[in-house]
Amino acid sequence: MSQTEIELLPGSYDNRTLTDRLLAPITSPPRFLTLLMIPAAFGTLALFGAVAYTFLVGIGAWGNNIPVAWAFAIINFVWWIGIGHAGTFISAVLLLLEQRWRTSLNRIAEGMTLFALVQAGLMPLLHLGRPWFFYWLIPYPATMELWPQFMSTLTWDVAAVTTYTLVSILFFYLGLIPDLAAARDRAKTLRRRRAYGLFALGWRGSARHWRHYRTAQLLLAGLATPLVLSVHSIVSMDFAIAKLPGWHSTIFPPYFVAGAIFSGFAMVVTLVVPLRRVYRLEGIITVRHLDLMAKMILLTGLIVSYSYVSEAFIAWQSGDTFERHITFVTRPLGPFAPVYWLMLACNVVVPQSLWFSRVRKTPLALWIVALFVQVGMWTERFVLIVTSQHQDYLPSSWENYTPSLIDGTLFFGTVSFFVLLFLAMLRFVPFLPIAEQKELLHASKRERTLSPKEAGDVRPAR
Amino acid sequence: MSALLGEFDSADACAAAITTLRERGHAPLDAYMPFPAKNVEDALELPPSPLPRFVFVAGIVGALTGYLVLWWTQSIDYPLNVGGRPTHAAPAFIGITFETMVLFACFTAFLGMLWLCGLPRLWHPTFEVDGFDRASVDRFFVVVLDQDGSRDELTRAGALRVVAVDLEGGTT
Amino acid sequence: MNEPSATNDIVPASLLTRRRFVEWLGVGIAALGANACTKPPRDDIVPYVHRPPEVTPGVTLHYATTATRDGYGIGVLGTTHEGRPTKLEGHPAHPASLGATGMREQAALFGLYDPDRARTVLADGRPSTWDAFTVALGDSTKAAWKQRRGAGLALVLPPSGSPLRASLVTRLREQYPDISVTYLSTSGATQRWAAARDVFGEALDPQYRLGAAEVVVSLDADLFGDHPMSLAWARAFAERRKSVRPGGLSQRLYAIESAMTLTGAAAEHRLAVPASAVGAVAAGLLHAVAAATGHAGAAPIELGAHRVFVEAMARDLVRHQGRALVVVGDRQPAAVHALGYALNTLLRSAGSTLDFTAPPLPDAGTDAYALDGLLRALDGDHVETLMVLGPNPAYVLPADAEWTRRAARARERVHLSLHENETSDGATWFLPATHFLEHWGDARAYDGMTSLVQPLVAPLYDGKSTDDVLAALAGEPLQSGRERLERQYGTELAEGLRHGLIAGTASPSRTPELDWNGVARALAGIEPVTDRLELDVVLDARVGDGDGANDPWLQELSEPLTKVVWGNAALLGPRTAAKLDIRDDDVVIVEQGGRRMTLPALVDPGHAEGAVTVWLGHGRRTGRVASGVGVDAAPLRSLAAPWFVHDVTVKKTGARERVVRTQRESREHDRHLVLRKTVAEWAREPSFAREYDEDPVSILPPRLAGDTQWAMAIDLSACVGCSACMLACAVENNVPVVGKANVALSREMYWLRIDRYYAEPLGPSESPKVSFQPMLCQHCEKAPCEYVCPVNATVHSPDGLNEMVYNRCVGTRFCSNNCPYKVRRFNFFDYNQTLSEPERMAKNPDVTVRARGVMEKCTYCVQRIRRAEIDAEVAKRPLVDGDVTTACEQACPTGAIVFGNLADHGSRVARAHADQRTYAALGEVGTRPRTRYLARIDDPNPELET
Repeated sequence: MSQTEIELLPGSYDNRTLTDRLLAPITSPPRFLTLLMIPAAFGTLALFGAVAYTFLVGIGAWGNNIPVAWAFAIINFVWWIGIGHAGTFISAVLLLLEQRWRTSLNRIAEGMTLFALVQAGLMPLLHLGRPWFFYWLIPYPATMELWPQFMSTLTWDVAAVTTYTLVSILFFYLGLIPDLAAARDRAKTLRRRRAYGLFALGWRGSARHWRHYRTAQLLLAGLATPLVLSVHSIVSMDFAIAKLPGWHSTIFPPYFVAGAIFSGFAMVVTLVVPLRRVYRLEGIITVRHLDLMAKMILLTGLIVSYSYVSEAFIAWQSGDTFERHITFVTRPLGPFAPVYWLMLACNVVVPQSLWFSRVRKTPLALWIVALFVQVGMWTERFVLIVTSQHQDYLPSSWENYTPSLIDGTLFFGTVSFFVLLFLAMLRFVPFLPIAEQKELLHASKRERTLSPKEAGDVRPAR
Repeated sequence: MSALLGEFDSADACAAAITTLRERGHAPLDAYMPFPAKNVEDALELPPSPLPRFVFVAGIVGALTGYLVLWWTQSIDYPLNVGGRPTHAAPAFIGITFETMVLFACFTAFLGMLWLCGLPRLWHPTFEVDGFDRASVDRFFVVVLDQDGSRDELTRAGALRVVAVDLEGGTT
Repeated sequence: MNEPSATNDIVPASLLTRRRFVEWLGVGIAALGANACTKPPRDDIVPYVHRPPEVTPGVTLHYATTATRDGYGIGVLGTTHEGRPTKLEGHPAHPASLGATGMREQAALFGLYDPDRARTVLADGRPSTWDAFTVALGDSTKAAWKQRRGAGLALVLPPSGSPLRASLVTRLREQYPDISVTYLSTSGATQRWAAARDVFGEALDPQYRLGAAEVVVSLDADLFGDHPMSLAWARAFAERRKSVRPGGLSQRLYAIESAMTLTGAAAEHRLAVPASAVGAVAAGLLHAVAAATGHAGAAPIELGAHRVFVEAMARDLVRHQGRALVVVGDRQPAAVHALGYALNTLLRSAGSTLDFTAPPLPDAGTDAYALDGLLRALDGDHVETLMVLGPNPAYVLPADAEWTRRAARARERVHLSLHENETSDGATWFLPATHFLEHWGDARAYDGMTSLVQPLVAPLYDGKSTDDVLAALAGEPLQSGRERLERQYGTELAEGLRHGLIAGTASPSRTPELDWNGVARALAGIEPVTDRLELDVVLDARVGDGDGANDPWLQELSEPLTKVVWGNAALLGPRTAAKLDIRDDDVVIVEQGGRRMTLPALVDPGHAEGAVTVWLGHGRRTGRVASGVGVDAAPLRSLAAPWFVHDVTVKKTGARERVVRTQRESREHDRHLVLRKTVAEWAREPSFAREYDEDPVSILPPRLAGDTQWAMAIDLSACVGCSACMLACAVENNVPVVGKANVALSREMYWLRIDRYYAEPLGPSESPKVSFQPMLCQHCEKAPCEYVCPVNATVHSPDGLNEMVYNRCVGTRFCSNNCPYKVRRFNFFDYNQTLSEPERMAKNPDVTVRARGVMEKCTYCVQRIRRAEIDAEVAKRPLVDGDVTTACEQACPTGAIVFGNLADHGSRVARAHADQRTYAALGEVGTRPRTRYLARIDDPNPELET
């Protein structure tokens, strides 16, 4: 058994102490949580205020115009969706690959996915000129006998995002069931016992159940993996399908997926680094975890950088006047040039620091890099969406874009709402998978005692 | 129907007990454990879960449903000239077809799992056994039919204690 | 500087201010009256097209009536829905309209429904009645006037060619011989008459025959702007341009002007000089032409850098003697007009390209058109009763007229007007006037043709016409306008009303003898070119002298050249601006002798150096829409120098204020949007347009078949960019006005816009080439907007229309993103929410009023198409070419826009699509637009090409 495997293990706990240790955050929650929740709650109120105002007066409350008909709302939508993807990636893809180091992270990541999806889902709805008719995008036998127009990527979005949200909820909840049972059984008060008991659905850890449970988990993981790829591919097609120079590009699906995982891992790091510090989880979320995530960020970052290069090359090679103008004039030199250069700095330059293991293994340094990546990915969407629109085919319709106060409130509002939901999860849900940790502990103990042959079946396939 | 519940403090002990019980011709019904210990499952020689087959079928059905809805609404029920494109625009239908497939499959996986496990079931006789709550923490329980000798077998296999449960009712 | 007033900024209901609430209260009350007034007028009106037993709901009626520009008539047909006027179109038989309208005629409808219109008689500012007024000027008053032979009674009237008005004035003069009558004209017409008196001995109106001219020189004349005849001139110009064939000579237009005008944009060669230097150029031209035609030339004039241009121009003119024409702009001083007359005489234009007629305006060229007499009388307290019946002198007159102070010296001050405005302040009697769509009358066109004014609707408010008041003054028995007309025309009237005009009333043309001494005097009066900065003042292309300023339709219409909306700016040439270190949106102070105005600057690429241009008609002090928009140029104007002010200084204040424009980028970026060729290039390369006309291959089978396929063609050789189509479209299709703040955010709603691009100048001494391109929904056969709409809100009709289903639209705005032409407009707010009741009556009931959050765009006037189809079906006849005209096509004075059925190979549009010059804008994108453009062909002077 390799040194690295040991590092990934939750120290020298036995099952019981491990259980209590992992349940501690919800059985005896720290006081600072409530303190943090207050500002987050205010931010959320501001969000709902801005939403209400937009519903009341119309999209005019934003900075949008013609030609820049899409702006903050869509930027936020793509950004949040992207962040969500890392969660699914960690919990599903790494599960299939039997990457054991995921265990201590997957629930946090899955939670993050859900809460990011809440923010993302809000945006396209709000973005409609007449949001109260959103259901016209869904096929139902209407009195006018009209159906949605399924060649439009927006209907694909509805299908993809809805599916993705539902599946993420199922996946999150499925993983939670045994731990809810544990929480039920360790509950001190009857009320908590009842509450957790209800959600545990009467789980009692029967071997037969475990068998079905495991199968279901693997199946969900197997389905979620192509799903997560499809969702951001479809989101990318919102742009790729259009004729707009700067959007009309076949490289978008892989490029968007990479970018999504890029920003998603950055978000996980942003959340986990303070978390392990506060909850003293260095023994469970180890430096090794951070190191591996940093490598993922570096890898996806390189893919994103490659996409930038290839985009530019294609634009040059196509000889298309409009593409060339967007790529070589508007973006680097136009009114939004600073945003463009900031994007390159954050997404291309800063991640290169992750070549150094010092950076990868210093939580604070990694945390800062992660923040840069978040900013970088938001600006990337800004560059893609706003700059492409504001100088398209006819010079006569070129116009600038200035976001309004409401736009800003909406963005920071979603951030607060996300934080609020995340803190709520820390407060009420066992955010570290108990059963899986025990399983990992058990398996590794056996590996140490049993012969390699027997141990073979538990060692991850490499 | 009355059964015996033997408590063990480790997965290995539990697995060993199950193996011996079976050798002695006792039919162990099930084991309760805080995590899916592979050796215990192997010892019980449980049949593989039928779930994958359900899910496969559900996936096919989902995909078909999706595509049929798209095709029927766009080119049969209310065809329109949209951007000069054909009403049956297969390439444009791929995305949604895939999503419906995944959606149907996932729900089948989840609900199928609950159905196979007979969950949700908020009460179960074993819950009446005090100390059983550690089944979700660090204890392993083996269930056998209460036949003659099976109680001794359990004790011999190293059970910390043996409790009788009436799988219909509570403890006896 | 001035934050947009409530009405020129859209405020959501939630931000309802107390003031607005009170306004609405008032409107609500007015509405009661307004509704009651939509019944047909008392007097019998003779329908123009057909005469139904009574108004049939849903069937529109058309009445012929007459709008006026500067007193000259322009025949229009008014459309009414259930007795409610909803649209004005040109009168095909009227010589000044030829079926077309300008933006002012299109906007006139709002004047009728303007919520700010005066509604009650005011005596010393307190509500009163017409009866009270008639009592006030009862027999005793009239007797007193008669005694003094009308001395002390002064009338200020708008210029008018109305024979009815003339006879009323004559009758007044008979009763009160010493009455003073003054016509207040804000155009420069008086200078044209003065010059004619000088060199011909009588005031005359020149009649230009542009159709016959092969070389035209415009000396500061805007042929296609707001001149009473510009619609007809534009038509003649365009007919010539459209008939051009490869290699063949069409017509060559030279423009010498200060700020770029439509004429300058249409010209092959344009020389930008300060307006006051045009005289020197004219003199130089006269000298050159005289020399070339072997006349004893005048003393040469120093032209400096312009010599090459002027001499080339002169040679060109002489080469085309008898087919050449020199046109002088109204605001140029009399001397320049005289030189113009002299030039035309040398070029033997008279009889071929030029005729003269006696002005149809009574008293034209007499002191009745001069103001100083009246002002002196006011100063001398010789005016007891001052009656201003229509005009708004307190605003339109230069500052040094000091109207308000002087007027205050008259004991009795009566003001009849559509609005309580600057002049109404302190009037002893304010009288609400009727809109021309509410009263009877007549008018004469620039060529003398008499046409009738008949009401489309009974007066909405308690108004009376100028004629009514004059008749009352004359002490005539109270009678309706129609009775007065009958007295004037007798039996001719019925026929006249049916056709809208009285046949054979055009003035006979004269060929007067030129007196060369007059020309010599004029030459002496030409001011030498200076290099000191001067201020040029011009009437605003949209709001004129300010009478259109309270009309939001006009305020939001972009000025054709600069694309400025809602207000004016100080226009500067690039080099001058650079010298003064002034950039766009810098707030500057224009000052002369302590008199100053402060306004934002705008660098206009085509503008003359050494001059700054400001449009009149802005900075009104009354009117909810007009007030606070732009800046009034009056402070720097003077009666002596109303149009050019010498020796002004322009200083930056350091402050900045956005000059709101609907187009920011003026270069084409080599995108081949407007194809331009010279006749020579065209001859070399006959099929130059082909490569932009062929559709890229597509794997998709064509889905549009059938024998009705709607399409449009726009001839860029003919389009002069006058923007009438924009307004015609807006009025026809209920396009909302969004206000300055929202236009600044690029949310204007006009479905049809005219893109204006600047290209590199032809010659060194010339200004940039200008191209116009009307841009509207191209109704692409493979429309990119359609396949991205998730709810089928925009789909294609079998007859080739790109349809927009407002009620289905959820407002994702994806269609706009995917439209390469960016012709889709979005309702960011509920722009119709703030409309007052009278404004709502201007809406066209055939067109949906769009809700907040939906996308809208040009529909090829689908309501007109369907109406025509139904009419054809009812009449059991096939639809023929010309049955359907879109609003833009109908208004277009040049006939540049052609609409019809592409599947009918004989149709005008099919022929246009087959033309050699035809191409598709952005054809390479593969959208297969149904709207095609015909390339612009210029015929530049080889001598000036470099």
